[in-house]
Amino acid sequence: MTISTFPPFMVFFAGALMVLLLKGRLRSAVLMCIPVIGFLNLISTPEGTHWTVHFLEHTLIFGKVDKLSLAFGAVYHLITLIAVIYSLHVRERGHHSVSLLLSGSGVGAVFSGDLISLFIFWEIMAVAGTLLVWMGSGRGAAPAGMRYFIVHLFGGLFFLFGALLHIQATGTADFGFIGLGSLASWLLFISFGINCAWPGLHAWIPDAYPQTTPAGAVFMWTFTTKTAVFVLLRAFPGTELLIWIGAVMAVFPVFFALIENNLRRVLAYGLINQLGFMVAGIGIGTPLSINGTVSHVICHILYNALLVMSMGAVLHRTGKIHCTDLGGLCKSMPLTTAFCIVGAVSISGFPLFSGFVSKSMVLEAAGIGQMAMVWILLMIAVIGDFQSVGIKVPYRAFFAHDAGLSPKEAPPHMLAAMGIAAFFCIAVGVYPSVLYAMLPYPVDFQPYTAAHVVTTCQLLLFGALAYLLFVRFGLLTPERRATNLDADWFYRKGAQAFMWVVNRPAARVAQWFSAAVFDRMPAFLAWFGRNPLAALKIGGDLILLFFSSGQHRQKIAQRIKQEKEIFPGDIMKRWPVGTSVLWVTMFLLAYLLVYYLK
Amino acid sequence: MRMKLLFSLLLFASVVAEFFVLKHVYFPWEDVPLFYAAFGFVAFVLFMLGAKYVLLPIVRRGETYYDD
Repeated sequence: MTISTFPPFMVFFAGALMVLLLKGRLRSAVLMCIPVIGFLNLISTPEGTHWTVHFLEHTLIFGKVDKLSLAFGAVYHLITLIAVIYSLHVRERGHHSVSLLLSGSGVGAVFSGDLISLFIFWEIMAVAGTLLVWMGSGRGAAPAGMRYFIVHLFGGLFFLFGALLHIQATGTADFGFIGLGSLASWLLFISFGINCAWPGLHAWIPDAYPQTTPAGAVFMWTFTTKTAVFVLLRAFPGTELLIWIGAVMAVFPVFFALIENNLRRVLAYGLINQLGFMVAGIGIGTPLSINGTVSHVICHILYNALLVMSMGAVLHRTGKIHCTDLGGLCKSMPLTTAFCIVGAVSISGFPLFSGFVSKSMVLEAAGIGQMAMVWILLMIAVIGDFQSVGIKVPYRAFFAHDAGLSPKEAPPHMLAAMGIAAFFCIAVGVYPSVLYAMLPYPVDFQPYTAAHVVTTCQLLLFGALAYLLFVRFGLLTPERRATNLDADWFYRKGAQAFMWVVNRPAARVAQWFSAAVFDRMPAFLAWFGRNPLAALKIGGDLILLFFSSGQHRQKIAQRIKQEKEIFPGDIMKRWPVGTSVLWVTMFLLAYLLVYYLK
Repeated sequence: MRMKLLFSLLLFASVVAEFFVLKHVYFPWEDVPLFYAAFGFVAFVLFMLGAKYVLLPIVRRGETYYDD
């Protein structure tokens, strides 16, 4: 079927090229036009399969357009618009270009209908992400970017091998439901899990994301992980293992976020915990839970971006992001404070804000499925969100003790971007039917029942009461500049241990080896070549010396000494005929043995 | 002071309201009065204590830990 629109990713990739050539206001205008044009292009594309290309014996599908990909595509376009507005102050054209490349590869991935094109977008996303980390100005950006790249290359290898095995086994590259079973499916499962930050595979997020620029962060926090959620939704819905992975990853990052001093690292842990709800929803696999996951993706992208943008604004204006350096900014940055609070209230899931209408779907699905343990863990995670992000981030940055900073309010374009995100957080919370219309399955769910509102308020308010009591009695964990270890310890310290082995014992062996092969052996051969017969005689005497003893031994030692002194001596020395006969016999014997054994 | 009063009122309202709404429960414990309030409070305290007394001693190192 031919249609008049373009593959959605093309608009972004063309934009990424164009902004490299433009400057000033024109560039800003083009930047803002790209997601708008992309969105118009998207909504004029009918559902179905478009833009197929034959490649070798397979079909690449650049437009698998259905309700699932459209929901992701739409929110990707919206967040790109918000993010480019937020990043208008950035002067480096490469920064804009790479950001659009990241958006475009995310969009390309959600619309791709086969493993080959998906893999290509997956890898572009890894490269664009790495470049965005490297554009961060901090001292740690370069090594963190390198670690980010290595982790994603590693994940990409799993993807590649899984995809090849899968294509070979099924004979088609089509990307749809896979389900756990074969080796190929496990390899793909793990590669998706690395990008989705599963427990133990998650450390690249708090490691790399906080190193990005304030503008780059909005892109980073959105695309890679949510695209991983998307591929899990396509390939592994209803996989029971995912329920448990999701439940665990919704809870454990809260502990890390609570003791973290860097507020952007707090948000990185908050991201992992939000992904937990989504992954659990995919695992439960009922229409309600899948709807819950998709609506949570949409809401989360918006409120998370809002929080990341507010912290970015703080970093942009003050150059500081640690709890120990911040506090009391509400007076000098009141609008940023207000937007941050909207994000915080949304992520906590208070009624009338977006988190409330999406999180509750996954919880409800767990309830209907009578999964008591999962329900309890996710309920605990709701409190965890509220505590680690909802309270801690705004409180430490804008209230708490006054750090004596009085920066200017965030620049207008940042405020505009935050304003748009905040608007959607509230709009979705108040009119959830707009959100529910986008979901892949028909929605039969009412978040605003009296009981649900009351119980949620009770849960959160009594959590807040606990916090106030902690503050009142001075029991909060004191913030201190520190490094908190995480799973990246294993490869960071592991790499150091590896380098120690390479530098010390391994290097010594290599040195000995190269000395033996390149110095001693040629020297010996040269020495040997000067008079092979005499050399052989010395060698024979040395063997004799080894087996002899007493007086005889001294005699042989004496003889070797003499032989060495006169070496090379007379090369033409005549040897008796008997010796020659002995040699000939030995060679014949060797020949006979070789011939016989062959 | 006014904030404290408002917060107390909210707490009180959420507790009282529970007895006037019809709950649609999936698990028996949801029927226990004030279950959600207790859950929120206890989970919050457990997170705080777990982070401060279990995780923190295990993972906290000096700021330049990885640079050394």
